[in-house]
Amino acid sequence: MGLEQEIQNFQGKINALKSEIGKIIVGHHPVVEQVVTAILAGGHILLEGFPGIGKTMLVRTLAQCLNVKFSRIQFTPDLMPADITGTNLVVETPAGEKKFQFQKGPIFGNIILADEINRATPKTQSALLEAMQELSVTVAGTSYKLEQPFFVLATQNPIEMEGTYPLPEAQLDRFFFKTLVETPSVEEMEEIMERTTGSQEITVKQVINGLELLELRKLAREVPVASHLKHYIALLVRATHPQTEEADEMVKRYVRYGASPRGTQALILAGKIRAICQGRYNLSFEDIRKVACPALRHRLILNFEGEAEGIKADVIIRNLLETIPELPREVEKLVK
Amino acid sequence: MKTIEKHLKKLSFLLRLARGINTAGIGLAAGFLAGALSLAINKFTDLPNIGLIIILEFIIAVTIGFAIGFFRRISFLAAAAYLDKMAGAKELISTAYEYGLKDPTDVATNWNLQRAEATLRSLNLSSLVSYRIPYRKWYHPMLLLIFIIFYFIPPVSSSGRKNKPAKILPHQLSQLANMAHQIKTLSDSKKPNPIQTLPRDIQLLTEAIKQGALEKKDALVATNKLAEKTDSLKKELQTKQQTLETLKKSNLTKDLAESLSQNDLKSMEKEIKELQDKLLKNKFDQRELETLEKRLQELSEQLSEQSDLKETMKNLSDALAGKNFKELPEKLQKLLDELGELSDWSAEELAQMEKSLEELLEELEEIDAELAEIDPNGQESCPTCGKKLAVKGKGKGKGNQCGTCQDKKFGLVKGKGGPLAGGGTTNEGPEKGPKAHQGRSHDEGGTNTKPLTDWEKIYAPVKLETERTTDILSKRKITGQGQVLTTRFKGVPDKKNEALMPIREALPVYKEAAEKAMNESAIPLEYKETVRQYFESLDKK
Repeated sequence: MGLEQEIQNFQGKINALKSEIGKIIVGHHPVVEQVVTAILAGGHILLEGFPGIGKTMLVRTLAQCLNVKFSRIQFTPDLMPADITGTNLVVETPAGEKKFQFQKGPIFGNIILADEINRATPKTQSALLEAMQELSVTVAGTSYKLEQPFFVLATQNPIEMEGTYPLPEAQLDRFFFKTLVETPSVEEMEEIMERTTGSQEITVKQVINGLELLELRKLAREVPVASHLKHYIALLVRATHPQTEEADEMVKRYVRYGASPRGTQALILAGKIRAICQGRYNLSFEDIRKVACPALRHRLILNFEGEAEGIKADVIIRNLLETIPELPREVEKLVK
Repeated sequence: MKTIEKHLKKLSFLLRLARGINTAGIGLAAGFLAGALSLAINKFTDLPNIGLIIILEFIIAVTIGFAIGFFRRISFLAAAAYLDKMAGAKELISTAYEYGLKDPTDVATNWNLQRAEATLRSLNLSSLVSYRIPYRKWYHPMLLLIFIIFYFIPPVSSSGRKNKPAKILPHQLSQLANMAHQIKTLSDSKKPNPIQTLPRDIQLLTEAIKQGALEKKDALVATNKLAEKTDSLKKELQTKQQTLETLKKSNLTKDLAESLSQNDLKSMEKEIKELQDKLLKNKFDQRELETLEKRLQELSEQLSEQSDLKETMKNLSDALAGKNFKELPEKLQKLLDELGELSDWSAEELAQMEKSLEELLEELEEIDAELAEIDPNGQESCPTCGKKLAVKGKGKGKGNQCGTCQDKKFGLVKGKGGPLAGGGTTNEGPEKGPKAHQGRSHDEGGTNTKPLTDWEKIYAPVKLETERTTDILSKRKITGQGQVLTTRFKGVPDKKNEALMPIREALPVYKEAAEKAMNESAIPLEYKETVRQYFESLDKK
């Protein structure tokens, strides 16, 4: 199969996936696109939005479309790490002997929905760290590999702050995207009512299996990236750090910590997937601009002044996108 | 890949051209600033050909600006990135070019290359390059405004008047009238060239000294007079040369200078009269008047310039004072050589000196007649009563007055009494002090009858000749060094203000004062170099 066909196949499958999701999820196109992008890139996603706007439904529908094992973990304050990873249980063999046997937790799935992740204690939250980064789980000194593909789709409620434990920076950094799920529009509300209150039951079909997903991911990773684009991404990520010379006044004033190198990886991988979805096989500045906010917003830790003034990370990121020059210096002035 | 490289090469050239135009715009701005600066400087100094300088500044600034922009390399990758941006190719061309350089056979790269080439074929590269100067709109108009403001600011004249309307002073008009009169006199004159007679006189004097035909004192007196008049001659010639240079500086007097250099006296006369007429009829605009005023001021100051030949003459006198007669012919020969240099000057300029040289000859004859009455032992005799006079005295006195017959016309010089003046009854000069012994007392009954030393015999005629009654050193003590120097450079030259003391004593004092004045900018900028050269020439001698 030629490259052009591969790209068309990629586009076809992604469009089919989006179409199937769209049967259940009304609107939320950017959210769906970001979720699909994160899955194709092999990253995890943090969905933030008010209750009842379809976060969990989105993840469930996605799992159905991909035909992979889906697990849901409802995070509560009394949730223990073993409840996620699994634990060693004493079992009796047919011969009457007793021995420890590892009972896999819900983490052993392909798509994990960590619902209301910020309600669990940091200890429990951190039980996901190894799984998300190393794709393995260690219990009682024994490591267990997780099955590929493996995605964690966490949700959190931005308004209920009592009894919640904000995710630590280290864990936030492990999420590929942080996607903001907005309240549906009037038309979308009407459509939701139409679909959910009638007698017709909507079902989705599987469009991609796990193996195909890995192949699509491989194709996406081979998209070439020009050196000046890499330079731009490096500049952009460095500019989120207030102590660097690339940082602008807004970053210096409102940001405490900037994005890590994982931010550059997220920008490039997400950009590549977007490029293929657009029918191109090269990364462009436009791709980077489109994915910059979901890829970087959770990696910018605002300082007290930023929090007090209600500055959004997206505003800082958009400001950086406007100020950092895209072209090499030798031709930059010729464009302005 | 070749197609892409070909297009990128063309685009790179166009981008360099655009950048050259861009930076030439910066050069243009720099040219405005440099021009404004030159105009500002011209308000305080006399830059020649300011217009040409400003034009050259513009050309150089724009050329350098263009060269900086054009000759700096633009990489193909940068050109490809520019092309992506301007053509909206979404980084296809730059990515394809960069990966094509690495491995053009790669499937993905090859696919991108084909698409990039197809995109390039549909593009008109020239339309993608902007040749405008991407600077703020107010940038150049503001600099142009600065330039215009400096252009119309009235100049500050060399006389130090700031931002006041220039005017032609009456004495400057009379200067022009005098110049016209002198030139007319010269043009009408049919007399032989006096410079030819002066070397001949010196030659004759030299031979006479060699042959011993002249007394030592006679030779001394004649040589000193000759030297002084020669000095005067050279001064006047130098002044004329400077006048020529000064006149050439201004467009107003350029024609006059041309006439002067071509020895066309009739034309000169006509030019000066036209100049006068224009001034009287107010035909000049403000700037022309200011320029002319400056030139006339310079002419006025040049009249006070001194000649270097004077030092040679002084050395000659010193040699005579030290009885070193062996050096005399050599020094005279040097004098002749210097005069020979003068003979290279134009016939008209030399003719202008005729009057001075005639005076010289007349004075020489007078001196000869007076010297005939001087006693060989160095004592003078009163022409009326015939009594011999004391050559030194301690008393105060005018020194040129016979104590017996009160003949005030007697004597070559007018002496000043002092501690060594011998207490003559008629010595009533105003000066006292050690230097007063340079004077002579005509005192019949003076108590000091000490015979003259050779040093005094040599210096006596020079010192007594002047009628100046103020000693430079004593004046300096009262008024300070700066005051003396200011008088010298700004005032009307006083010939009798010279040679009251040996130059070896005066030179360090004046040099120090001049350097101090130059450092404190008491001397106008345009004259500093002249003053420095003057003292350097004295040092050499």
